[in-house]
Amino acid sequence: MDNGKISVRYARALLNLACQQQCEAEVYDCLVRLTKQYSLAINPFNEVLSNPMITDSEKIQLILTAIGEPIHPCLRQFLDFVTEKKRVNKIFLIGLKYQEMYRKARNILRADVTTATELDDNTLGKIQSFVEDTFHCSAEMHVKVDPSLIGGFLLDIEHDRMDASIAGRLNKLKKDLNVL
Amino acid sequence: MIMGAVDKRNQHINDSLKEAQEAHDALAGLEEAKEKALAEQHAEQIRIMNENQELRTQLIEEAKAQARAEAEKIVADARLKIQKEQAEAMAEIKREVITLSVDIAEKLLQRELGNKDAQSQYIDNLLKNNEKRIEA
Repeated sequence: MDNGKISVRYARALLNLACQQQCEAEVYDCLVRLTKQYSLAINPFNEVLSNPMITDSEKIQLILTAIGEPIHPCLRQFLDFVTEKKRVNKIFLIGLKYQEMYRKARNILRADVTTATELDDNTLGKIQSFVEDTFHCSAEMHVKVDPSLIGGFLLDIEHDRMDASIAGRLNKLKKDLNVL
Repeated sequence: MIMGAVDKRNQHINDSLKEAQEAHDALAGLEEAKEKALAEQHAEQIRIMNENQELRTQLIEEAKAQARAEAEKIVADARLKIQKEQAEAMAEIKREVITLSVDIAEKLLQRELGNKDAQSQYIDNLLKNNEKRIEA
């Protein structure tokens, strides 16, 4: 069975468990923190999780440290279950799949916003409202800063990108002028 | 006996004269044939000379036409090359002007949007314009 199918199966099981215990949002928050930490050090994380010399309890401890406090007992229970099934090395993919399923169930869109400078909450709120009004959903905003954009913002939603940055407009202008 | 000798002598003289006349006639015929042969040879020479002259003229004309065609090709190639180089130079100038203009615009915009408030204002306007576009 491939990694995708395994992680989907485990993610669905976790979502069902969390729904039964009415803690799906808390588990989601924990997994968002985990994937964020995991993304910062993918290779070392994978090396530890797939190393047979490292004990299961040490692997769980690593995951718990990455998630940080608070950790919902439901997720803690699930981690033990995954470890028992020797699938702890799939926890990152399971976490991602869980987030996808959760967002789909709640009609939430993940919006990755890149801006040239850090923006105040008011402006970020306006971008969020724009996304929510445009796509008729709730938007989960993930913001990062890239000064090379000069101004405006880049919006990545699922597999689509809206480029409202100054750098993007200047590039387009340059291309259009070269075509003339 | 003397008469016989005279007659014999006369006969001999007549025969000689006759032979001389025949030789003279033969010589005249040969002279005529020679004249004719010379005339024919001369006519042949004139014909050959005329033919040579035509061939020479034809070769010269062909050489001239070939030289003209080559010269025209050289001029046309040179013209094309100049046009191509001109177009490339113009395109290069255009690219440089565009790059320079965009670079200047970039610097100006960086200065204009150098603080948080200006960025927020710009995004506000962007979103308002987008809303208008969506409503429209």
